[in-house]
Amino acid sequence: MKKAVIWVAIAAAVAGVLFLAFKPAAGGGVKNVDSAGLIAAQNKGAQVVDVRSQGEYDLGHIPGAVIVPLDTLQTAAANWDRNATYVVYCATGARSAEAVKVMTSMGFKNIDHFAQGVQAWTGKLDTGATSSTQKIETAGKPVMIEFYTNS
Amino acid sequence: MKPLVERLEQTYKGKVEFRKLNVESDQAAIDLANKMGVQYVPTFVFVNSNGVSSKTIVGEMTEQNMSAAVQALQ
Repeated sequence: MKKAVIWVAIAAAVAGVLFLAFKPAAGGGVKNVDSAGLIAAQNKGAQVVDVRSQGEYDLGHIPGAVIVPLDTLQTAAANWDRNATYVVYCATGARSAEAVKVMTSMGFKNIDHFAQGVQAWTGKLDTGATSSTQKIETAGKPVMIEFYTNS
Repeated sequence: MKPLVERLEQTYKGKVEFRKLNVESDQAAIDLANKMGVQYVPTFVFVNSNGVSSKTIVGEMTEQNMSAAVQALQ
């Protein structure tokens, strides 16, 4: 009887340790969001990431979204802040689900998944590639600027 | 991306200017990136001859896409 009580106590202790070890961090992890949730996240500073192709993005994308096609995500996201919040979406949720897997494996802690995709977006879409209002000095020739890091 | 950009630089020599800005070590590059709202690397900004940015692409690009974007500037 005494032995059984000891084993039960040990089992409870092990279960408690495992629960604490694998409990998701409060407010973090992966969660599905709808249009309202995406806007709320964006208002709190989340970066919206469109993982579709450039052509799909140009046809219409969620305002403020950056274009990072799924096949370039691993490389593009290599230097992103793992603690920041990102909202990922695609057309229907298939590619963004894959993007969530990629980002989770890379150590990103706060990912919001707009799982229904851009087809379920209730707001206006921006069209065309992103552009900056910052005027660049040129010598009368077009310029291509690459911003990069060594790492 | 370096070999790809260098190849295009040779192809468009004299027609398009290529600026490679290191946002780790170059303060002027960091300032410009901040002004332009660049948050991720690599980021490619395509600017027409009037100094107006017409396209910004975040992440790696294929040679075909980059070449098309450069060609569209001319």
